[in-house]
Amino acid sequence: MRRFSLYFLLLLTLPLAGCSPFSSVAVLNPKGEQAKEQVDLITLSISLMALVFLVVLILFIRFVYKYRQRPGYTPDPIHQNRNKKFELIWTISPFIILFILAVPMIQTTFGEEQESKSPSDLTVKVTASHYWWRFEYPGQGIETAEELHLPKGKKVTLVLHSTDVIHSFWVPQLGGKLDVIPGRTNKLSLTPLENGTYQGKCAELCGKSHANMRFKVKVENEDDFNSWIAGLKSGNQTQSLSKSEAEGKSLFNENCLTCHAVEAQVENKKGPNLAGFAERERVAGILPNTKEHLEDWMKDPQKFKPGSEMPKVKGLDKKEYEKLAEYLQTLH
Amino acid sequence: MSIPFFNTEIKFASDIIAADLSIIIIMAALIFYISKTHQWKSVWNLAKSTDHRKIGILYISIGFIFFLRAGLDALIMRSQLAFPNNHFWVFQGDKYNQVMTTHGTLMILFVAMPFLIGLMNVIVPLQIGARDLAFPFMNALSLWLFVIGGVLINLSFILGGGPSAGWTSYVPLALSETIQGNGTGFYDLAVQVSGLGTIMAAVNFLVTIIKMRAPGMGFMRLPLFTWSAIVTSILILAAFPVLAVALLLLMFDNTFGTQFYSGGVGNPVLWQHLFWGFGHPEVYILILPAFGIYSEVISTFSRKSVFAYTSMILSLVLIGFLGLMVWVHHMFTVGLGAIANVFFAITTMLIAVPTGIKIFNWLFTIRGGEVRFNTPMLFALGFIPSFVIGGVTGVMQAVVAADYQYHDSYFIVAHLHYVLIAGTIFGSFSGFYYWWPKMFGYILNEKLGKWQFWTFLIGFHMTFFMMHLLGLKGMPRRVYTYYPEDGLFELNFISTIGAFLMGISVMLFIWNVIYSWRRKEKENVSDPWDGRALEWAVSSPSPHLRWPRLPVVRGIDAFWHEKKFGNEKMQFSEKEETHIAYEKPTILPILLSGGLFTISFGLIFGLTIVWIIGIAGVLLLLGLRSLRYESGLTIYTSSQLEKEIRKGDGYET
Repeated sequence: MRRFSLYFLLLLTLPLAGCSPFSSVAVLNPKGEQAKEQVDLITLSISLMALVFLVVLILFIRFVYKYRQRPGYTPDPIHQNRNKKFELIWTISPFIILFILAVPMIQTTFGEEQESKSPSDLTVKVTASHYWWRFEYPGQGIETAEELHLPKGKKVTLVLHSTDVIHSFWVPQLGGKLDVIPGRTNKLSLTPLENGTYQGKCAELCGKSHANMRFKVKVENEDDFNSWIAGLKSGNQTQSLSKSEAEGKSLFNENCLTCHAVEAQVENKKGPNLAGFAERERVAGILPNTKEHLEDWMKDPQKFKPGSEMPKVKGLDKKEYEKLAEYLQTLH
Repeated sequence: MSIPFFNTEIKFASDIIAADLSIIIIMAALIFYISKTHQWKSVWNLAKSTDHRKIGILYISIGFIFFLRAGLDALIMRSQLAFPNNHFWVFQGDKYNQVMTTHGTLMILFVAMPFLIGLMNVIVPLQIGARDLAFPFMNALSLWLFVIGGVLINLSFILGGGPSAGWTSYVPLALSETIQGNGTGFYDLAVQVSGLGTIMAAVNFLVTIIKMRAPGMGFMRLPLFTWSAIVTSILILAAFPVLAVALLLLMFDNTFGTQFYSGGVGNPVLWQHLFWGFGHPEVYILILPAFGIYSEVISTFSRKSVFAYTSMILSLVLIGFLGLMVWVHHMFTVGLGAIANVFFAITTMLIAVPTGIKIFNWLFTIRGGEVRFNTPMLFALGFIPSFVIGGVTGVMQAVVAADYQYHDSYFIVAHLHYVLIAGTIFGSFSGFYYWWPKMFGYILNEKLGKWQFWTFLIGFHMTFFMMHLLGLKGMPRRVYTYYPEDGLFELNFISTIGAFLMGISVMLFIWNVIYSWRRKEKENVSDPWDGRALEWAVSSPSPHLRWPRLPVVRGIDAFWHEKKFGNEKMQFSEKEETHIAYEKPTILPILLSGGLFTISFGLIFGLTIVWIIGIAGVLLLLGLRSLRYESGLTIYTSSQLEKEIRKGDGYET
C-alpha cells in the first residue's frame, strides 16, 4: 500500500514539473521568473495535499469496508471513543505539513514584494478601461494598446491604473495577477525568460465584456524590442500610400482621429493608439487581424464586445469600409 | 417592445417573456391545485404559524424553490459555456452576468442559509428538549423577511434587470452605469432585509439553547448539531451586522449619491474589507451546521457515539474563531502588501488543523462501528473525500504567491463549489433524508434516494473537478465565453454534462418526495434509524404541543442512553409547571414583512412616498405587536397541557 501511494504521488507530480502532457496548462508551463517561482510553490503544495488526501482516502475506504454491516459481523461492544496517540498524531502532523508549506510561501511572497520595490530595467504604465488595455512606455516616450511588447530577460515594472472599475492584470505564463483599482496604484514585477506570444486576460469581473478584455504579451530579444520602439517612433512618414489607402486615410481622419492616434508619440487619446496596427495579431484584442474582421468590427463593435465604448462607424458605403481597413493595415 | 416602469423600463425580450409566462403558469397551477384540494385553510394556517417545525418546513421548501431557480441559472451558464464562442439564447454579456450574480446570491443566501436554518428550526428545540424556540413570533418574522428578500431578488430579472456585479457586488462596478435597471438596488435591499431576519434567527437560537434546555441537558451533553447551531449563531451575530453596514453604505452610494466606495473620494477597497468581513464568516456559517448534521448522521448509522466529542466541540469553536480573522485571503491580489497577506495566509492555514481533526474524528467514529448505508449516510460518506479535496485546495490557496495564479480563476470556482456543495448541499440532503420523517411523518424512498445520491455525486465531480484544470489553463472566472484557441472546450463540455446530471439528480429528489408521499410508508416512522438524540423520542411528525413534563437527560445521546438501559422511552421530570407559554398563530409577521417589502420597493425604484408609507406601516405594526404581549400567548399548566394533548390529535410524547 505504501509503495502504491508513493507511485501515485510521483505520477501526480511529474506532469507538474513542466513535462509534455501539461504543456497546454498555462499556469504549469511558466515562461517568466515569477511564474516559475509560483509553479514551484504550486507543485510543493499539490504534492503535500495529495499526500493528505491519500491518507484520508485510504483510511476512509478501509474503515467503511471493514466495519460495514453484514451477516456474521458483530462490532466490538466496547466503543473506543478516545485515543490519545492517534489524536496527537492528527493534531501535530498538520502543523508540520503547514510549516513545510509556510516557509517557502513566506520567502517567495516577501521576495516578490522586495523585487517589485527594487529598481527595474523597464517601466510600463498600464491603464485598464472598459474593455481594453493601454500601455505607455514613459522612458521611451511611446504608447501602444492591446499588445504589450517586453524584452526577454529584463525585469519590468508594470504600474497599474484604472479609469473606471476594478480590473485585474493577468498573464498566466509570466506570473500571477494583480488587481487594477481606481484611485490606487499597484506595481507588478515581471521578468519574462523566453521569447513568445502569451495570452493576457482581465481576471476581475468588470462588466459586460469582461470575457473579451484580452491582450497579448510579445516577448522578444532586446534588439528586436529596441527596433520595435524605433520603428514606432519613426512612424509612417516615409511610407507611400496607394490611392485607395490614401482615401482610407482621409476617411480615418474624418471619422476616427478624435479618439485614435496613429503616431505612437501621441498619448492619452480616448481610444487605443493604433500606431503599429498592421503588426498586431488581433483587432480590439480579440478578432484575428484581417480586413474582413476589421470591417465587421467597425460596423458593429457591440456585436463582438458588448458594452464597448467604441461607436459604430456609420455612414460609409461598402467600398469606404474596405478603404478604411486597407489604410489601417498600412500602419506600421 | 419595452414599457416604462417607474425610473426604469422593462424590455420584453424572449427571455423576459419566457420568465413572465413561467411565473404566471406556475402561479395559476398552484392556485388551481390549492382550490381543487380545498387547502386554502391550511395555507392560511401556515402563513400564521408560529410552530417551529412548520416554520422550518417553510424555510426549507421556499429555499428549495429558490434552489430550482438558481439551479436553472447554473444550467443556463453551463449551456452558454459548453462550446467556445457560443451563443446560447440571450445569455451573453450583461444577461450572463445577471444570471451568474443571481445564481451566487441565491445559492448562498437564499438556498444554503434557509436549508440549514430550516433544519435547525425543526431539530434544535427537539434535541434540547424545548417546546419551541424562545421567541416564536420573531422566528416567524425571520422566515418572512427571508422570503420577501428572496422574492425581491427573483423579481429583479423581470423588472428591468437583475444585479450583475457578482454575488460579491464589487464596487465601483456595482455602482457604474453598466448595471441594467435597478440591479444593485435589488441586490442591496434583498440581502439587507433577509439579513435582518438572519440576525433575529441567530438571537433566537442562542437564547433558546442557553435558556431552554431540558433538565439534565448540560452543555457537554448537547448533540453536536445543536453545538454547531450555537457557534453558527455567534458567527452570524458577528458577521451579519458588518454586512448590514456595508449594504447601508452601498444603498447611500446607489440611491442618494454619496461617495463611500467611489474610486475618487471614497475607497473601493473598503467595500471588499466589509464584504469579506462578513463573507468569510459566512462560509463557516454555511459549513458548521452541515458539520453538525454529519456528526449526527455518521454516529447514528455507525451505531456509535461520536469519536472525541469534546475535541469535536473544541474544533467547532476554533474554526468559528479563526474564521473571523481570515477575510483578507479573498483579497490577496488587491496589493495590500506582503505583511498583511502573509498574516492572513497563516491564519487561513491554521483552520486546516481543527477541520482535519474533525475529519479524522468522523473516520474514527466509523471505526469499530456497524455501518449502515442508508441514503443519509451515503451523503455523509460522499462528503468526506469530496470535501477533503475542497479543503486541500483551500490550503493551496492560502499559499499567497501561488494564489496570485489561482485567484479569480476557475480554480476558485472549483474550490468554492467543492466546499459548498460537498459540504453544505450534501449535508442538507443528508439532513433532509435523515430528518424527513420527523418533519413530515413519512420516510423517503431508499432506492430513489440512492439513485439520487449517485447521480449527484458523479455529476458533481464531473462538473467541478474539471474546473481546477480550467483555472490552471488560464480561464478567469465570471467570463461568458472563451475562444477556440484557448483550448478550453473539452473540459468545459464535460463540466456541462456533469451539471445536467446534477439537474437530473435534483429532479429525482423531487420525484422521491412525491412518490414517497403517495406511498406514505408510515411504519416505525418516529424512530426509523435507531436514533440517538432526543428528537427521535417524540412521535413523527413532531407535535407542537408536547412534553407536559420535560424529559430528563441522563447522558450524551440522550435517547440512546435510555434505550441502552432498557427503557423504551425517555424518563420525565416530576415537576408540575405552571407557566407553559405557547405563542398563538398570528398574521403580524407576514404583514411586517410586507411593510419592509414596501420600503424596499420604494427605495429601489426611487419612490419616496412609497418608502415613507412603508416605514409608517412598519412602525404601526410594531406598535400593534407591543400591545399584544400576554394576549398573544396561550398559557398552560402541565396537567392542562397533558389534557390538551390527549384530546388533540392523539399525539403521544
